[in-house]
Amino acid sequence: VSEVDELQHALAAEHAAVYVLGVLGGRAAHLPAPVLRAAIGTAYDVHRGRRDRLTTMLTSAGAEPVPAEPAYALTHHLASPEQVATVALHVERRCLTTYGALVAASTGASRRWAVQSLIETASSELVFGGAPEPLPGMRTELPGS
Amino acid sequence: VLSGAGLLATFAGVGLTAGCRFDPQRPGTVQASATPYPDASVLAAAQAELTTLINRLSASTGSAGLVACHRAQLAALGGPVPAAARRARALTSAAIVVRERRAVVRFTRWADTCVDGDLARVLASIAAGIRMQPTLQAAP
Repeated sequence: VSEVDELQHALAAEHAAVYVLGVLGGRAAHLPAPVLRAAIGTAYDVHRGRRDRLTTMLTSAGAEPVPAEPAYALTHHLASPEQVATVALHVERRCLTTYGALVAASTGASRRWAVQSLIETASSELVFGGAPEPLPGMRTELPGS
Repeated sequence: VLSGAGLLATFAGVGLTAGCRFDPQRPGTVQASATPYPDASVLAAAQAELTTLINRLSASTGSAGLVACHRAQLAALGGPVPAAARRARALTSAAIVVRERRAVVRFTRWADTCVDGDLARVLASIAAGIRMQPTLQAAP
């Protein structure tokens, strides 16, 4: 798998993350969970920044960045802070996995950025109820996905 | 199984972390026997770093979680996991934080610069895994 392929996968994951976190932010605004609301807002900004960075990296590589889907299906109920946090955790885990693959496929500045993104995304999991693990991003399947 | 440049990172499915093992010396790998592994020194340094941490932390109270974490990481790198702690001086809580942070920096640098992408992924994951541990999350 080429570096450009993994950049495209990461961008697709970030498109989905930005969309889903936007929805989660809207839901959290109506829930009595100010800490969660702030965490989702922070995550939204981070993922939007990464989406834009990935778009730039792909354009610089001469590739056409994969576009966002018109919408993304959200199959989970979002009636409680716990349910919102669970979906946010899934978003982070999906991105974490794609950054692991990007680390493996990239070199130089792209590798360094992917490594940093992987490390930061792993820490972000903790904000949404994720548990510390020795090797984040190395699993090939996500529970409940 | 993920493969790249004749090197393998295997996901055996035993568990979340126990089944993940990086094995550059896997028998039957043609390229591994034909040319020296380009990241042999990085791999050895990474294994040594984790071995040292395991030995020092094993003598320190309240570090069982970190020891288990590093043992899983060392196993993922294909290193021989110490069966029992060697005699070592215990570390203070502050010293543990310093050493763990230093390890994050080292694993990040190795992930940035090593040749083999599969090894880079494992090294980056180890850096992230250390950063996730409560010891560093709770540190000022």
